[in-house]
Amino acid sequence: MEIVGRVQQHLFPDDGNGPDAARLNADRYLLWVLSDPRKDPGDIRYIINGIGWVDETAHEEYEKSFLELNGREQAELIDFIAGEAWGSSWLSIILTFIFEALVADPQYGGNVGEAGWDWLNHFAGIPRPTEKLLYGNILNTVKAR
Amino acid sequence: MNSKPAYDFCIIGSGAGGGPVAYELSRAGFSVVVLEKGPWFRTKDLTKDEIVATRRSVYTPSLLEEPQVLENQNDEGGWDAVPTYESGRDFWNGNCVGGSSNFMSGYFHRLKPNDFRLLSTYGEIEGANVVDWPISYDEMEAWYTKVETVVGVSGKVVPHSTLEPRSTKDFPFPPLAENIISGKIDKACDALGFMAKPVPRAILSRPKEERFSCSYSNFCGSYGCATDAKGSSRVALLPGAIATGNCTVIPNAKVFNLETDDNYRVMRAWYHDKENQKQSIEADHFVVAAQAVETARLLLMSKGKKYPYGLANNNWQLGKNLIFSGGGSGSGQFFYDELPDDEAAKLAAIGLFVNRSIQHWYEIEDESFGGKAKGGTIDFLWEHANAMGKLIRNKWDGDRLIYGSELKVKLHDYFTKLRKLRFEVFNDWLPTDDCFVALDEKVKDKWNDPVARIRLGYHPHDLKVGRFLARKATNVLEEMGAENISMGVSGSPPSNLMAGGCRFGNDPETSVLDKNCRAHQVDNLYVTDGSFMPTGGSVPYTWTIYANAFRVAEILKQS
Ligand SMILES: Cc1cc2nc3c(=O)[nH]c(=O)nc-3n(C[C@H](O)[C@H](O)[C@H](O)COP(=O)(O)OP(=O)(O)OC[C@H]3O[C@@H](n4cnc5c(N)ncnc54)[C@H](O)[C@@H]3O)c2cc1C
Ligand code: SF4
Repeated sequence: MEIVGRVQQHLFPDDGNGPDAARLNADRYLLWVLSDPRKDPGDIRYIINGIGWVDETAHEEYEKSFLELNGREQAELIDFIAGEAWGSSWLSIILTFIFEALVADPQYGGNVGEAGWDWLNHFAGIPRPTEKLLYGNILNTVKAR
Repeated sequence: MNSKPAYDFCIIGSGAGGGPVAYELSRAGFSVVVLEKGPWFRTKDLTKDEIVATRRSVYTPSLLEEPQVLENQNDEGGWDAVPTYESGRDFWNGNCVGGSSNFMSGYFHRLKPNDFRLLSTYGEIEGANVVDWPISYDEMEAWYTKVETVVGVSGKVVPHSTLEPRSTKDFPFPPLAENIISGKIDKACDALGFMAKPVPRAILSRPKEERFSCSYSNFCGSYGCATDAKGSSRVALLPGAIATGNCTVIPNAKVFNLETDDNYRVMRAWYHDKENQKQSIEADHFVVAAQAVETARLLLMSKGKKYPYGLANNNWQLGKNLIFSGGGSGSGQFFYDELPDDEAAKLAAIGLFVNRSIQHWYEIEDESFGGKAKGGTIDFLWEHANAMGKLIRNKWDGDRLIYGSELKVKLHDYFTKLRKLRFEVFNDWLPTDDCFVALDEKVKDKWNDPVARIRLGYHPHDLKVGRFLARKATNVLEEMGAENISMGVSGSPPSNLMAGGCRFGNDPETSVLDKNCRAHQVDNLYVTDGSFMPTGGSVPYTWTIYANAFRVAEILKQS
């Protein structure tokens, strides 16, 4: 998970322009996504395998683990991976879940303090969900009646 | 043995096709049971949570548990079949009490008289199974009007070149409030020598009985309505049915078989209940309204001694001539810093509707079509407020993935500096032999029932009409001063606008239903969703589905 956290930070950096992946809790948000019992196990495997591929590529290119690379090397490696077909698809999925951590209701764990909404001047719709109506709970709430 | 069945009517599916029948028959004193596959969300459950509404399968089934198989044509002309759990392409629209009507945007257009006689007005088109309807617009008019008052349609009638005949002067509910962009569209169309007209919506602009008027929530299509202003079957029709004491709605009841006797009648509906137990219900009459694809699937699954190829399929017409809405879409952008401050603020105002459409080319007269041809509708609307959609559309630059600070600048600019006006084109999806529903021989759903296999062929003529209309729409955007104008027309069907598969007609050899939407071959079986439509018209379908279901309900009451 540390690798994916670093990757997320390169994809959505702390550059003075709005919240970065860390501020959005994007890594913990992704963990929540991966723990969804209704999610296609194949999709979960793909995300997890991709972390391994990033590390393997680091070994191939630098003979080091991704986490042993310095910030510049990590950025270069991500540029390299993004140029590969597998890499751009995998990074694109990682980005999609950063986006969810940016704009989903903060009750899901991302978008801390509504930082994503504030930055994008996005007005979330009303009514907002209560805990019982969040994804993961809503179907049980309705079925239990 | 001969005891009377528990119910007079059993309706399968509680959406736009089922609601009017439940409403009318239970109010007329008949006992009605509605079997609905999905859960029963109440208004208080419907929030604007983007994750629930659009990012996960909540209002629709999980594709792992309930896939469908989609067939697309490959470059060699063959058909590639891919289950939806592999492609991720979701063809479900809303499986819950009220069906997809909970999640529609409520752009409501009537068909026009020429839609009822496409063949005799415009002639044959090679490769397309175009026919006239067995009823005329005049026979449907009263039911369109009934929908306006019972479901609630807001709008304003303005005379224009293709205005359909109406028995009332205006809509029972005044038009919804509009963004200043609507006036700009009017002005541009004026300058170009044609007219934009207000779009009727199945949305209350004033309260009606227990329902509130629209709160301009800014999240309408794909979302349930928290004010009950949207005219879903769940709030506009089912409460009136249930209040009679004659109508029982059973959620989480997925019907998998209609059992028939030796006398060409359906005896009972079999369903899987909430606990996945098999249950059955007997009724005098059965009305299927499970939405086009699932209606065909259920009938194909319901084989019996008299129906070896599926119920009402002894002439092999079932599932054939499935249609969607043809057309495409496009957009143009307006940048706030190029407008005076007050105008920019008004343009950015959220919630207010655009509600403009152009039906000037509902009939095209143009050399490129060799004279007269059937055209269609252009609807203008704001880009959906969903944040995820906007983010995802911005992460690629062609084939290049954008990330890092470059991406953040792009996203911030997109969200804060401009507003995108979209248009959607609706034209006929011509019925062909390459668009139909069958049962897949291998893929099963979680109850081990065979899933629908949908062939998605289209007629090239649809693209020609779509492009013609989309170009006209881009002219309007140019005249308005929009930037970054784009358009796209393709043969990829919009899964939320489906019809056909059980076309109605006078000839039992070429149609599944008679003009009253009763199956030619089954005495007590009716179909009231969009499946009956032999051609689709050049508008979204739901007003017509509602109207026809009211029409059939009246026939059932009389019989
Ligand atoms: C996002 C979105 C936007 C839309 N916008 C518009 C619009 O602006 N204008 C417009 O005209 N239309 C619009 N539509 C389309 C509109 O919702 C449909 O045309 C209409 O609801 C179709 O009615 P129906 O009765 O065929 O299907 P539905 O309303 O979907 O009802 C079918 C019901 O049958 C149930 N069912 C299926 N199989 C079974 C089974 N085996 N047993 C029991 N029950 C079953 C389903 O769960 C469902 O509840 C939109 C749809 C969507 C999803
Ligand atoms: S309040 Fe209005 S805009 Fe919001 S969902 Fe209901 S009908 Fe649509």
